[in-house]
Amino acid sequence: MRSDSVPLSAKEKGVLRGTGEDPLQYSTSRFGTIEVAEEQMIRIKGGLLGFTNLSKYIIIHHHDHGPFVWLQSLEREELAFPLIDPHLIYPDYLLEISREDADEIGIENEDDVQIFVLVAVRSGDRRMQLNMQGPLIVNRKNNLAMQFVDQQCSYSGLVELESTVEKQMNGV
Amino acid sequence: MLILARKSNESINIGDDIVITVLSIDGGTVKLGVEAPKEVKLLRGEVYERISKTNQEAANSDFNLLNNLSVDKVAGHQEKRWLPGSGDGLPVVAVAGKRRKDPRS
Repeated sequence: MRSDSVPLSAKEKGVLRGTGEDPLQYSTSRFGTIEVAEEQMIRIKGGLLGFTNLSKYIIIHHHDHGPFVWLQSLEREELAFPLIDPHLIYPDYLLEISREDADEIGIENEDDVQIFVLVAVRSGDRRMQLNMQGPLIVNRKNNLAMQFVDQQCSYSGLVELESTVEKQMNGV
Repeated sequence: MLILARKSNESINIGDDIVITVLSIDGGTVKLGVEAPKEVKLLRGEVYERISKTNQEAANSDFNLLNNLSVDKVAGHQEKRWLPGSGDGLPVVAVAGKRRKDPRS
């Protein structure tokens, strides 16, 4: 039976520990070595389009990155995607999925769900591009996720960087 | 690319589990029926291209650019709402950055 004390290195990194088995270490090119417990791992069914052979990820919040979180691959250390909750940019954002799609990742009700969109931003850009047509739907209950193809999406996802910051500052 | 000519009602098998059938041909439009297991993603070519291209661009995002949307500018009014999973069950690994003002303190 292992003790309950958290090793100092994990505490320093601020890793959230679950109960259960010992966490594994993964190296990442942006965040160094991280410890991930089994129950923190997100599995994307079918993977992301263009990366369908990869399904194991972890969500990382980098302290300096505000509303953005990172979807870090646990299978390729250099692969990570910034994510943001689309509701922060589009407060009226509403995603409808069929019961069949919901069943794919075991969604039983709305509260189980956390939605993210992938963010593309290059150095020198004044705008970021949110992938509104392919939101990532995460089921908090079982850590299964999928990239849903939203053919009805009417948001362009092109967002001025400056105005995002200002909007947030004005409490919008 | 394998090139095959098919007439209406003829089909193509891909592996053991995928069948594409020509349902009808009308002018310049071919109607195709596709049978495949649930886990295989079937998408119109242009939809697949658009989403996978945007995914790739996201993977190439500039890490430091997000740095500049600093926490003290962005976080103030939303409290913890922008940190998904804080207390809500979504597992998030927190990574310490260069600590400036911690808006949560």
